[in-house]
Amino acid sequence: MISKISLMLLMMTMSFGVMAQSYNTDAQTGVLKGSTYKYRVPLTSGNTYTWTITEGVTNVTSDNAIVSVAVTNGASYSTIEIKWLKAGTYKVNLEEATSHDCKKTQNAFDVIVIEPTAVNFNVTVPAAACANVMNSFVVKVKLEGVTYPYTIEWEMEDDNSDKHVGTLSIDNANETDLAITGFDVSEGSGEVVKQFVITKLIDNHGFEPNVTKSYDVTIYQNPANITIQHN
Amino acid sequence: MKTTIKILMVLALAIVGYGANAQVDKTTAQSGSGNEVLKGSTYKYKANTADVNIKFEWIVKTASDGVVPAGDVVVVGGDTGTASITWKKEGSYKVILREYREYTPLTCDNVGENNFRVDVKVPNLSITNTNPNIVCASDVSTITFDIKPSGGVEQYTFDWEITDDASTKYSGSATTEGTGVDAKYTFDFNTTDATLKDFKVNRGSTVATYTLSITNVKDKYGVSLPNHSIDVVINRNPITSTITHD
Repeated sequence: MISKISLMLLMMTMSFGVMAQSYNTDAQTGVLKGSTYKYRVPLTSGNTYTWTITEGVTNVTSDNAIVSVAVTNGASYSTIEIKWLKAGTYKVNLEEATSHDCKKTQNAFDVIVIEPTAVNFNVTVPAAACANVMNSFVVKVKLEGVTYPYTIEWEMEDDNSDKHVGTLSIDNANETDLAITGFDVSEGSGEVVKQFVITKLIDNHGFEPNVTKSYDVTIYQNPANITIQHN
Repeated sequence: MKTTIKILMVLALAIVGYGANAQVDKTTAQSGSGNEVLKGSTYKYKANTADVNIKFEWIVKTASDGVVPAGDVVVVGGDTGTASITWKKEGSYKVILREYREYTPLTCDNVGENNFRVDVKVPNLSITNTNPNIVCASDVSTITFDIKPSGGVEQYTFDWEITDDASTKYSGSATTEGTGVDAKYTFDFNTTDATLKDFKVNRGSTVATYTLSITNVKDKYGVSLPNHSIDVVINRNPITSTITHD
């Protein structure tokens, strides 16, 4: 069962994803291999747009597994979506032609694709506390050595076999709080150890380091209910 | 009894015409039928003979042997071997050259006669862009116009003017490269010394239409022809776009 909070976080993340579709002309000198970027120009109705990708003088296509591309011509823009599969120095080229086949080769866009560096996690789970306290707690997550924003997917199962799952968007190098509520721990006299697991890490351009991180959260059980008897 | 010397006239006597402003041999053009001249032009004609004992009479009739109204055609000359004829009204005419020996009365029946037809046309030009296709701005090299006159057989001079997308006016004077119905002129847009080499066509997705004005059109005989304007149509190249990324 997905908790309400988790759903809310998921929706917030989706909203953030839409807002992130801003475009700029910044040079791309450190695109992480495995990332997907969109490149676009304003579209003139009736014109045709031919996108090509070159590495040096060599044409790069999906066929040679260096990129994966999809071109869409909408009402306002001609867009190519490129997933960079191999580190290298590339040019995104565009030839535009009018309905009269008059052509213009637009200035190419330079892209340097690099091998991703390791992502450092800095996750702080709450110190052990009683279950009634830990019913709602905060995990602090910090990522280092990455280009923000990133989204993590996480899961944590309570004693009622309810799997709390969700996503957390991390926009900067600061610690980001993840509030987990409604976390049920059985009563008893001992302690339980639950795993806060980061199952997936993905950045805003689809770069997805293959990592799984697990952090133990120790919770002291509260005494079981007993019935007071009288003589 | 007066002796009449019958002279076998050379009926096949050729007539040579030439322009008033230039000594152009019109033998070929004006010695047959179907010759065209422009209204307002003056041609000189001469009998192509070296016989000095012949006198001539130049007569102009309508093509159907009718009388030409006074003022429609002016013939200057007469008993000499040359005549200057000014064509002042459009129509079809017959130029008749009568020739006789100096001592033979005009009434003699041995008068020789030769004639040819002249069609006088109202001055006009048909100007056509002969580019096979409307080319892209980036590919414009030359644009040729056929200039087909309504009459006359000579070259034409004219002034031209055209304004580009930067509001720069280009102009010049030119002479057709051919004559008569073969007259044409080519505007050069891309050689280094071409007047139009800097002609600016903005980018876009539509066609660009420029008006080429042709004025002061004259043939070699000084006949002015009407001004003309003709569209020069050039396809624009796409505008410059900057690629952006998300």
